[in-house]
Amino acid sequence: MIYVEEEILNHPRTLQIQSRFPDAEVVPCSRYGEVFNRRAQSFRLQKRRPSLILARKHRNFVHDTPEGYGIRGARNLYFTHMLNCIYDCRYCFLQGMFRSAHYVVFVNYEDFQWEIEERIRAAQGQPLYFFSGYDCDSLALEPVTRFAATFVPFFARFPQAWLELRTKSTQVKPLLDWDAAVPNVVVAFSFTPAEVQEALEHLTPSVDRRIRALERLQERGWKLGLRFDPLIYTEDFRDRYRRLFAQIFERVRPESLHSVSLGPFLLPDAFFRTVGRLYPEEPLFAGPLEETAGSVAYRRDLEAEMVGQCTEDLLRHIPREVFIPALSAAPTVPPVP
Amino acid sequence: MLGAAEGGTFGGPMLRFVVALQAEARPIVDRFRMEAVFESHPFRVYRGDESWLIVSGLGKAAAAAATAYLHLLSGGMTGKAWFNVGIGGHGLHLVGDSFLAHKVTDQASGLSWYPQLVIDAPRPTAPILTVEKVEEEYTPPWIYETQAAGFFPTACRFSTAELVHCFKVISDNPDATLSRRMSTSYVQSLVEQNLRPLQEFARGLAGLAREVAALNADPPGYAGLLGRWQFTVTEQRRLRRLLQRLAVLAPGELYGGAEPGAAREARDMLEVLETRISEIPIRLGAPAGAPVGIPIP
Repeated sequence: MIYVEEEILNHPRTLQIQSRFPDAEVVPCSRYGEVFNRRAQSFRLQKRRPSLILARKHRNFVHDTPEGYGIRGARNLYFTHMLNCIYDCRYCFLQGMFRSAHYVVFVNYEDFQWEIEERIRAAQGQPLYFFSGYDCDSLALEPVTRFAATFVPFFARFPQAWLELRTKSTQVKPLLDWDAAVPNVVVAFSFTPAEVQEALEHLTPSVDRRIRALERLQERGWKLGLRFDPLIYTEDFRDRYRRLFAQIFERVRPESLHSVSLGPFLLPDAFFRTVGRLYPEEPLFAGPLEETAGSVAYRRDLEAEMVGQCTEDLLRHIPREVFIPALSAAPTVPPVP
Repeated sequence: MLGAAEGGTFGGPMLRFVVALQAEARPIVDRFRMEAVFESHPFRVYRGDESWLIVSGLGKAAAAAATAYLHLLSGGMTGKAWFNVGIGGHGLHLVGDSFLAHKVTDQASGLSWYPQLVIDAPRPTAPILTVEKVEEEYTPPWIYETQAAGFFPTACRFSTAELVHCFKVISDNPDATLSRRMSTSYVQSLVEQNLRPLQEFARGLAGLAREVAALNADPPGYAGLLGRWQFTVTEQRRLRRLLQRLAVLAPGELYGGAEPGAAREARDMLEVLETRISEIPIRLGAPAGAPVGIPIP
C-alpha cells in the first residue's frame, strides 16, 4: 500500500518511487497526517507491515540542532526528508515519538535544497554542518528514495558546508559509483557490539557487514564517521565494546576518519513510557535505568563508568582530534518535524 | 449489564461485528456460533464464545450508536477487533465480489479515515464512500454504502485502527440495481458466499487483539500483592513496573524469587522488589514479542 498526497500525485519523484512498486495499491490522501500518527494507532502493530507515504513538506525544511550538539566551530543544522526507519532498533526514540510505523518520504527535495542553499549563502563562508539521519536512516531506503544520489552532488557544490549521512545500512552503492569521494560529505555508521546488535537492532545489517561497507568506502576515499551510540549496558559491556573497537580498527584506518563519537542511552521520559508500554517484555527497559530531569538514562554511576571506560578504550585506537562526544549526545526533546 | 461479567483483560470474545441488516447478520451469527441476547436492548444483539454482533439498522448515525452500545454491553474493554460487514454498490465490480476498505470517506463531511492493514487481506481492498441515502449511480473507484463513516471513527475510540475494518460485498452495480429491491435471502446469500475470507481475516485480527491484551495484562503477582497490603496510587504504579521488570529479568519466578515474607507493609515490599532487581544481571536477548514484517510497502 502506498499512500500519496493528492497534490504530489504527478511529482516526478512520486512517479519514480511508485514505479519501483508496480503492484502496490496507491491510495490518495489529502495530507499525510490523515494516515500518519492519527490517534488510535499502534506503532508495534504497524511495524509488522509498514506502508510508504509520499508527501510534500511545506515549511521548516532545515532546523538548528539543539544546543551543545554537533561540531564545535561550525553551525550545526539538520533536515529530515523521511520520518521513520525500515529498521526496528528497540532503543530508538522514533517508537516513542510516533504512533505510526509507516515511512513518510517528503518528495520535494528541491525545496529542501532551496532552503539549504539559502542557509549556506546567508552564512557567508562560515562552516555549516548538516545532519540528515535524525528521523530516519540516511541510506537504508536509498534504492527507493535516491536521497544520497540527489543530495551528495548538491552538497559537492558547496565546499564550506558539510553533510553527514548517518546510517546502519550497507546501501553505499551510489557513493561507490561516484568518480571520486566528495570531500565535504561524511558517511557515519552507528555501531553497538555484535551481541547487542543481534538482540536489539532488528532487521539491521550485522556489525561485520557494516564494517565491510566502511572498508569499501574507505578504499574510495570517503570520509568516515563512527557513532557508538547509544552505549548499551550489560555486565560485560567493557569486553564487548573492546572487541567491537578491535574488530573495527583492524580494518578501518584512523586517517579515513572524520570523527568518532560515543553517547549514552537517553530517552525523553514520555517516549520511554510509550516504548515501555509497547514492548514490556524487552529486557533493555527492565535494566538499571532512572529518570532525571525529564529523561531516562542509565544510573549516573553506570553511565559514567561506561562512558569513561569506552572513551579510554576508544582512544587507544584513534587520535584524540577525531573524538567528538557531542555528536552523539541525543537532544532531550527532539523537535516535532 | 451483561458484558460486565466478562472479567479480565484476556476474558471473553475478541471479535465485534456491526451490521446494518438482519439478513447480513444471520450468516455471521451461524458461522461464528452466536446466540441472541434475549434481554431487552435497543438493538438486536448476539453473542458467542469468540464474538459479539449487533444489528444497527441503516445509516451512519445508527452504525455509530450501535458500535458504542456494543462496546459498553460487551464489557467496555478496549483493544478488541471490530468489523463492519455489509453490502454496497459499485460502478464496475461484479455482484458477490467482496472487499476490505483501505479508505472510508464520509460524503457529507468530506472526512476520510484509513483502516490499517497489518496482516494479509484475504480480499482486495477498495475505498468506501458513505452516503446519506441509497444511490443508484456509482462512480468508481468507490463502494457506496451507508454505514462505514459512522462505524469506523467510533470503533477507533475503543480500539486501535489496525484492529478496525470494514468488509463489503457488492450487492448492486449498473447491471443489477437496488431498484429491483433486494430480498432478505438475496442479501443473506451474498454475505454467505464471502464468509470464508471474512472468518479467516477475523481470526487473524483476533490473534492480534489477544497479543495486544497480553501486552496490557497485569504482571504476575500484582493482584495478590494489592490484596495483601494497602498501596497508594503512586505505589501501585511503582509496584506494577517493578513486577513487570522482574517478570522480564527472572521469567517464571514469582516476584523474581524475592521473599515477601520479610515485608511488613507496602513500602517494605517495594524495597524488597527493588533489591531483588538490583541483584539480577542484565541479559539482552531477542524479546518474545511480535515478529516484525518485511519492511517493504
